[in-house]
Amino acid sequence: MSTSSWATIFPGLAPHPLRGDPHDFQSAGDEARTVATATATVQLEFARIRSGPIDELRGGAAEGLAALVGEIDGSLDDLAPVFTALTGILEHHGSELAHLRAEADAALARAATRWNDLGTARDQHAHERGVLATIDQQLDALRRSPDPREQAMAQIEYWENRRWGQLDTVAWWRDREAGRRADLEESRSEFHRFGATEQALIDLTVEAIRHIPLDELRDPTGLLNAIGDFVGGVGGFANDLVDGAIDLIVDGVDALAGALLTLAEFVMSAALDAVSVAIGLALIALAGVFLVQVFMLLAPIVGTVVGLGLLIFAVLPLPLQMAILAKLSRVVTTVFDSSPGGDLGGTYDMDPIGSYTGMPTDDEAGRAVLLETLRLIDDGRGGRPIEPDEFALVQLDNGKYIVVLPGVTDLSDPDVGLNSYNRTVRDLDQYALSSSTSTGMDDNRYAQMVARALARIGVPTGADVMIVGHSYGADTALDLAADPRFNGTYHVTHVAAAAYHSGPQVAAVPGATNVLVLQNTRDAAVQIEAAGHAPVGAVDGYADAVGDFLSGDLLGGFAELRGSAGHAGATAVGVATLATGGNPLAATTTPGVTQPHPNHTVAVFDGGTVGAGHHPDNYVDYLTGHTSTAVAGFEASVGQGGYAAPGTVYVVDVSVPG
Amino acid sequence: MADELVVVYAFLDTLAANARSSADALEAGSLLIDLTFAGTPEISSAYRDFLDRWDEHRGVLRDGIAGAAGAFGVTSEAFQRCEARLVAGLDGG
Repeated sequence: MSTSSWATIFPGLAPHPLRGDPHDFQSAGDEARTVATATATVQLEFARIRSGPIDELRGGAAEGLAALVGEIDGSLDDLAPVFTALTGILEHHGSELAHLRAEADAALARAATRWNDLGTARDQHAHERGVLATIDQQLDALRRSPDPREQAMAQIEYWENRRWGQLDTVAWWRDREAGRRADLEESRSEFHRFGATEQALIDLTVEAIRHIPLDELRDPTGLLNAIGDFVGGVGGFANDLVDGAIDLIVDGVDALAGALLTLAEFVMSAALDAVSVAIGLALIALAGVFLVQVFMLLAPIVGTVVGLGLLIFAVLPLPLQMAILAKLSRVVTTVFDSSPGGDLGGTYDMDPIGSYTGMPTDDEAGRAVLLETLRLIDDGRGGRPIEPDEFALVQLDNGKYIVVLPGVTDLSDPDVGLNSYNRTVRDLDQYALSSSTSTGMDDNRYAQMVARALARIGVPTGADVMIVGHSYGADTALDLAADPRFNGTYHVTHVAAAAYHSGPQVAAVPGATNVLVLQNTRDAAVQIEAAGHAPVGAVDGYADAVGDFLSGDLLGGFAELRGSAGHAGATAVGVATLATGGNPLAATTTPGVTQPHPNHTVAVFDGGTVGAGHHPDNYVDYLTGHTSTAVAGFEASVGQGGYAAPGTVYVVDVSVPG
Repeated sequence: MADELVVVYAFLDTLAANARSSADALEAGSLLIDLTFAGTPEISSAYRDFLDRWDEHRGVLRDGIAGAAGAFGVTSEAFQRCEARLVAGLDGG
């Protein structure tokens, strides 16, 4: 008898001790190997380019390019090992399973033999027991017979001897049957051992598959970030390049001015006091109509004092003039070369600097929020200022956020190009000017970096956000609120924009976002912005010149006027406006509170003059004493919006990556 | 800013094409079949879980490389525009 099924031998058991099919694993292994080969090929093909002309590229953008290529290469480089590992796991399982299958087949053949042997032994045992029973019957019949003859006695003895012999035979077959049965039970145990072995193999394979280090692959989102940084870097690089060209033009103007100064010195050394007076007048003429306009219109007294100062300077003996120039030069050098604070690198790093109070009285909750955040811009928290390359983020305990955006850092401290100490994005000539004539994030790098910072920090999508901005920060606050990519990712409920001519931007902000614009009519920066956004470069230089002259930085003022002329070189209209007596400060806005939309309030007021009217204190003072119901309505909505709650103040680094 | 600037447009274009073809190859060559391992549902489940994780990673990676290809192209165009602006500036335009 033969059989090919365990179930036949052991009724109740499965037909086979093993569940898996080695063929499945071999096919899967082949599949994984194909993918491993494909990913390795992709990686090799891509890697080939790395040894190409990338080494010939020069410049910062090339470094960004190499970094991005490296990021892609790294992302591809670790793929093939994953599938090589998967191939190995599947092939190992298939191989072990095939081996078990072979052993199980052999065990089945053994079990079949044992089963047959048991059958034979069991049959023979039964047969021998039958023979014994026959002998017993024979003996029983002879013993019951009444025949006492000797022949009968001999027959009994014969059968008894047979019986003894048969008993041994039956015992032998009984033992043999038991032996065969034990052998067969060993096969049953083998059946179960195969099942247990396969289960252990399955567990091992499952663990191995689950531990394939897919999670350790380079995060592809890092690649996306690298692309963003690279494109941004190239954009900045391109701007730098063009700005470099502009610098060349400015340098040309500087060279001309230097030549004039040298000529003046020569003439002054050759002539005497009378000639010096004439040269002093010539210097005033060189300063141009701008100087006269500025001092006559803005600050006649200061202008007169400075004009007199120039005249006095002009009639001074040359050694004294040179000494004064050298001193002023050192001042200028200090202004340009000293670190204003902040640092390079650490972009998007976030540090806590103190707690946020948010605990005003109920009826003035919103006003207190505005006051605290505006003071935060100037004072920082706990003696820790917001550095020039930072903005502040208030994380409230109730899950809401307040983004606090200070303005530019180089309005009163002229700094051509990005600041070499901190590369802050809060830069007037690099980013603020290009942003001033548009809404949305596209032309505002500050806004882009704030948006990216919030994403990196992990501000959850849909979170309620209030933005408070001053100056360029106000421009940025409205640009963020106006851009659906930001005011869609986050729920911008409120914007408070102070010290910026924000009127043109408000209409771009969705009506669902509450906006308060605060403009001090005495804020020189707002006045200049209001005078017209073009020619931006000329107005910029003009503004800096005003700041410098007001602060007594005469050489800085001249430098800015030269810079203004340089910027205005391509904008003849702007130069004409200024040179012919056009007064950008004449466009002063009118005090009053208007609401272009029920949720949008623009408050223009005659405020203080701290810092040429631009300092946050002027706006704090207004909020402390105003009587406008519309402004009060905005303040109330801030309180009702949940922003008058305790929290933590963080500062976030926004140094432009180098 | 570097003292020297060398831009090889052909390289950037080749790089873009290479990245694009890599993204396509990744799309075509890394699709694993959803296999079933008869009799061993534990392994089928683990394999399917792996497949899901891989598909997610693969999709983001493919999009990333395709994005990089676009970035390379944009870069080449940016430099060409930049060069044109500089040339125009030098010409007094």
